[in-house]
Amino acid sequence: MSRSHFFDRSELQKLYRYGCVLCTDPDDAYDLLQYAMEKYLQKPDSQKFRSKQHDSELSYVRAIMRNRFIDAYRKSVRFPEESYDDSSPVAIDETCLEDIVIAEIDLEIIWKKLDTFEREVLYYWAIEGMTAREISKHIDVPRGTVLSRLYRLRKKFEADDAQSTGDYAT
Amino acid sequence: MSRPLKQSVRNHLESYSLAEDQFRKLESLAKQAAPISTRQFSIFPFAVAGVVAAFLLAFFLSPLILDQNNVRERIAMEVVTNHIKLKPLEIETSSIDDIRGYFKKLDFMPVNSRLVDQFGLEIIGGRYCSLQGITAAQLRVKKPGTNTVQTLYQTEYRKNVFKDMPVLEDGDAPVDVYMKGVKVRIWVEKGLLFALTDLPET
Repeated sequence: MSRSHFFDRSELQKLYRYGCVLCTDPDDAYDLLQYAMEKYLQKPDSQKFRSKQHDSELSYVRAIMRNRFIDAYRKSVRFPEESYDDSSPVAIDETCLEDIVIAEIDLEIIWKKLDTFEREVLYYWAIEGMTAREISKHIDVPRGTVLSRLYRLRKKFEADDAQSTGDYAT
Repeated sequence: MSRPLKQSVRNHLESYSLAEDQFRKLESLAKQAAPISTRQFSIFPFAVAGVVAAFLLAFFLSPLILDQNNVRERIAMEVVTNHIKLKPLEIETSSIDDIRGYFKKLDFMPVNSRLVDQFGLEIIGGRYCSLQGITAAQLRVKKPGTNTVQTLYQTEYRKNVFKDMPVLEDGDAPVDVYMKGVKVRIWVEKGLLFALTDLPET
């Protein structure tokens, strides 16, 4: 039986951008993608989807990338180990980011200040169009944690917006 | 220009793109991996089929082989037992014509054997007998000038009774079976089954 599927260029591009979300550095992202491709190609087709978590080949490769990233950067400040306070009684709405508007130049600045968790949630929300429940399934955290991150993201964008407004006012 | 956050995130990430050489490297990984994958998957079913076939062959052929060996041993045992007893001859002659004249109640015609001739043996007589329940001629043979007498059985070759035996005309070599210290040589020639006890000089 021959290999049934390899990724086309648009899929590779998607995976690379996911790597950029994790690593921020484009070279690191490419290394991460290449590693994941090698692992993916080494596995027989029948072993590729071993859990309900990975419902597509893209999803499976993203999981390889994420696991590799966590292993490689576990001790690094780029991947914070402290968890959010998921039990905090915050009234969080899943659509809390929908009404935010931001200039691309401002996003580029704030993007560098976000940690990996936050960028990853933004990626799944904006690029893959996933709900909080779907994101939680893909990154293997409780839905409440995802909602908490969305809320913190909103706060960061609002703070950034307030600062920008203040800067322009002065 | 401000846009909805979702659109800004998309635009931002689209600024990251793989270069042409990076695409090629990734695509070459798939080409390198494909033959390995194919080989791994193609061998497995054949290996399983081979093991199953070997098992089935062993399972079905073993009784046949064992049964065939048992027939040869039973023939050798019967021949050697009667050879040791050396019961009196009913006819004493060195002529095959006389032998044929005497053994008229057989379902076959006694013949000279090419192999027996090669050993330089000549008939000295015979008696009625049976081999595995089939009427047979039990002949005595000896080499001229010696006193050692051997026993030669001839009987109709019934495949359902004697199973597969080496056929001289097909180029097969006789099969040797040892029983009670005596070698018995068994073969098929001219449509008859022959069993000859050990020759001292061979």
